[in-house]
Amino acid sequence: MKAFLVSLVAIAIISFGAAVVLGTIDRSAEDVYSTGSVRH
Amino acid sequence: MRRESRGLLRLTLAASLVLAAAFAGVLWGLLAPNGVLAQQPAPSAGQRGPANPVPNSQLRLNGGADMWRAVRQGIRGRVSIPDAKAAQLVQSQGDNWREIRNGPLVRYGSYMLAGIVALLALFFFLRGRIRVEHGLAGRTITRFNFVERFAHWLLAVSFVILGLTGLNITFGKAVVLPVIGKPAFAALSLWGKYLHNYVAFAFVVGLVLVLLLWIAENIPNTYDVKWLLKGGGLFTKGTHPPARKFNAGQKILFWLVILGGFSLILSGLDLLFPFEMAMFSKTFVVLNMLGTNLPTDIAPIHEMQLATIWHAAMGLFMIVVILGHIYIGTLGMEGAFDAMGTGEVDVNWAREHHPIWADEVEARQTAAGMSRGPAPAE
Repeated sequence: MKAFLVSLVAIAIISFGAAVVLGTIDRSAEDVYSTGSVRH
Repeated sequence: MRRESRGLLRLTLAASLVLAAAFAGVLWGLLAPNGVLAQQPAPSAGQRGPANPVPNSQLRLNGGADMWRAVRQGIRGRVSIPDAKAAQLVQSQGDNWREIRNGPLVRYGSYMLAGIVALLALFFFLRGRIRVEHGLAGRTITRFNFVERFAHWLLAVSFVILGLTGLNITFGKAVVLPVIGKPAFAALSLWGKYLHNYVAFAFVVGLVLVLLLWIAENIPNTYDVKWLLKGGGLFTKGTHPPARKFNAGQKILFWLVILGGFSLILSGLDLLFPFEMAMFSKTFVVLNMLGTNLPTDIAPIHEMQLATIWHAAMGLFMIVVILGHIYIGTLGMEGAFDAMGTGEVDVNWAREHHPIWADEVEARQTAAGMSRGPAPAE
């Protein structure tokens, strides 16, 4: 079950990384409704 | 008197001309291509023309009823703010979307989930656990290496998280909220939404890894026809149709996961980055080349509505498929879980369920043993 445990760690790392990267876009998500597009 | 008559006539003509010009100007102002009441074509790429025909020949001649009817029918005008979507005041497909979202999607989705659970329970009741008929040999061979198991669990665990949080989005308000109350449900749904959005990227990595690792062994071959004709030996004891590393059932699962998974990813990206993509319009253009007659002039908000319905329906379908996979990999078949647990499977299990692959592995092991030569004498 080592592969299973390593996959859990990988999911945590990938998800956290995605949250950090996309967080900048997420914060400007309201722009979708005010400007029609998001800032990248 | 005659002079007065001429003066009056000139005055009347001049007044008539001025009035006619003014009336023409007013009409032009109202009905010209850029006039106040004219239907405005989309000023940006994100907008398109009205979805429904609008009678515009009598606009404002009946108190604006036609104009408001046109608004109700989804006419898109022009706005000066950057958000071009605001140019459409009423989008009637939103009503349809809500009815589908809260009606058939939830109803048939719950039928599907209940149906697969009932079907698996019935199968277990009738067939029982599929045993290794020749008993466990006590000797194992490697079925999946570490990388394969890692990719499988990366995909599997992320899918379970996405499935549970997705089910909460679809059914939570009806099922979870009455049990745990509004405050707890609000917190659960908020964190579930975060999990769903970000764990999705682990799912993408897992799906790509699985595709790369196993695509070569999931190309259909003639053994698959024999396997399918015998129902995979699932319904009768003592039947063991031929199979290489993956049998026909596993290949069907593989392609369902790959195609369904990428469909979920694409529709999920559409939802994660709203109004950035117009995937349904583009997909319908391609499908129309194949003979369908699907609408390609889809408003941006309608794109989002289609994406939510598709994403939820495809997610429910994949949950049903994976429930079947989980059953056969755990409760339904003796020795199957070891393949993804330790990576090692009993030789007799391999010979019964994947006889050609087992022969190939054992032949390779024998050849490797022979190439090493006999053990040196002490």
